[in-house]
Amino acid sequence: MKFTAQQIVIIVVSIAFIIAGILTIYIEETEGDEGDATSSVTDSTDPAGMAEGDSVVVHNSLEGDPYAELDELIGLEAVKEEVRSLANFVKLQQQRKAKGLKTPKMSYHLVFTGSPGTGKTTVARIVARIYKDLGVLKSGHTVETDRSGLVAEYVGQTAIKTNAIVDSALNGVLFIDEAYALVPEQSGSDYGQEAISTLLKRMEDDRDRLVVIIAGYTNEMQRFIDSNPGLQSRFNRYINFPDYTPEELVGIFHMYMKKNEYTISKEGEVMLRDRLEYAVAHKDRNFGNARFVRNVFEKAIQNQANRLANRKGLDAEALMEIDAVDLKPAFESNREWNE
Amino acid sequence: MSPMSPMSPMRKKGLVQIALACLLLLVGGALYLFLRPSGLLLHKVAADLGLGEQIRQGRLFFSGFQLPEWMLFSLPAALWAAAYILVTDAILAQRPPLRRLAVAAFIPALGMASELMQALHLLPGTFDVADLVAYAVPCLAYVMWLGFCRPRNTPIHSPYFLAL
Repeated sequence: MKFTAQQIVIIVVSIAFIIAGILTIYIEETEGDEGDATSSVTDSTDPAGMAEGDSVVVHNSLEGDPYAELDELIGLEAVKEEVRSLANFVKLQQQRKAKGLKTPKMSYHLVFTGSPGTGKTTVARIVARIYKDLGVLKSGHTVETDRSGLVAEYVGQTAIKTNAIVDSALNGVLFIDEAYALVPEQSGSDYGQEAISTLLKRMEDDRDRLVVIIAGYTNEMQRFIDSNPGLQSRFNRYINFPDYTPEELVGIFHMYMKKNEYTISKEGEVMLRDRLEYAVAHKDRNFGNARFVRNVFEKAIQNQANRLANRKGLDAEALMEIDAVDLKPAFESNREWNE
Repeated sequence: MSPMSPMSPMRKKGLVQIALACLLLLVGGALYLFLRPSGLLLHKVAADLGLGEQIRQGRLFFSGFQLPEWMLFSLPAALWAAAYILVTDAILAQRPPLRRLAVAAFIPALGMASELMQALHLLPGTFDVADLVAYAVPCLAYVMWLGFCRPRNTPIHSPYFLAL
């Protein structure tokens, strides 16, 4: 069968349009989502968008069961229940969608409220992996930032910076700590609003590829969300992280010990419990909870190292044991609480 | 003047149509590059071509624009379909209208078919009525244009239209 020149041109043009249409209109994402999540993470350090010292941490999705990791967290029973409930709801809606049933419009974005050190970042990472398991997100990595990672110092640069962070979080979770800092109470020449507008636009544009979790103190978060109707419509699921009890803080200290292969003497255990009970009873709103315990642990093992520095022939037991004499200065040097 | 001479009106019309088609594709491409999220394949291609900085500046310029959703997600498809119609009409300028329509409607029909297959879960993707309309509108406009451009006193059922 012979084709005329005209027919050949038509065929070539049609094929070109089909290929262009498939590559641009049909395939709207780059291939290899996990690999691209990594490369876009690398791109997030583009100097055009980011300055040295900006607070951005990228946490790539890990292997393993996120539900098991959630269960292993100390305390946070109400939070675990909320997260499981959310996962069950998402799972069911996806099953309904697969059967062709109607599904309510879902917002996967979350608000985590609570004091510092109550596990908000840790749970955000777990939620990202749960969303990945449920097929909500393709990568399930977490990009953690705060105001400094979103707001620039010059006009027009905040949008670039915010877009760069959002780009790095696509197919994953963008975790913004102390999000209310974007709208300071005394707003002067501040570009926080520009960051919020850019973020809201991206949340709309990329609604199938981006989950945002904002976190901070309860009252401040409420004020922040109430300040903008766009935020109110997108963030309607709240999870509160209560402060840890003294027993839970003791458990967290033991967890650090177990992870790092340390033990504690009987006197050390008594002192640990007493001091943590006192700290909780006298805490202020900036009490660091698990972060406070981690600081105490780190100082305690440093003190132990100083104590044992000049000794020779130490056995494994001695190298592992934290004593009351190591803990006392660790608690006293911690700025949050002093006897 | 022969219809095939370099400056014949038909040739001029064809060139204008192809130029217009290129413009539509450029506009659609600009929507993708400057206003859509930057994870698209087109951004990768543009970056590989050394246009990364220009794209970044363009995105900065357009960062304050708030276009409605249909312009960002459905208009590029309509522009792509319209560009194809213009190009095929330019190539097949001397052919009967029905043949021109049959060829020109191929791409919009393919687009509509892919949308319907997505609706029936035969193809991965999300069905969107706006996308279906985006493919249909250029096709319908072309049909109306063919009817408008027919010689005077030529009814629709005449051999002029029905000939392939």
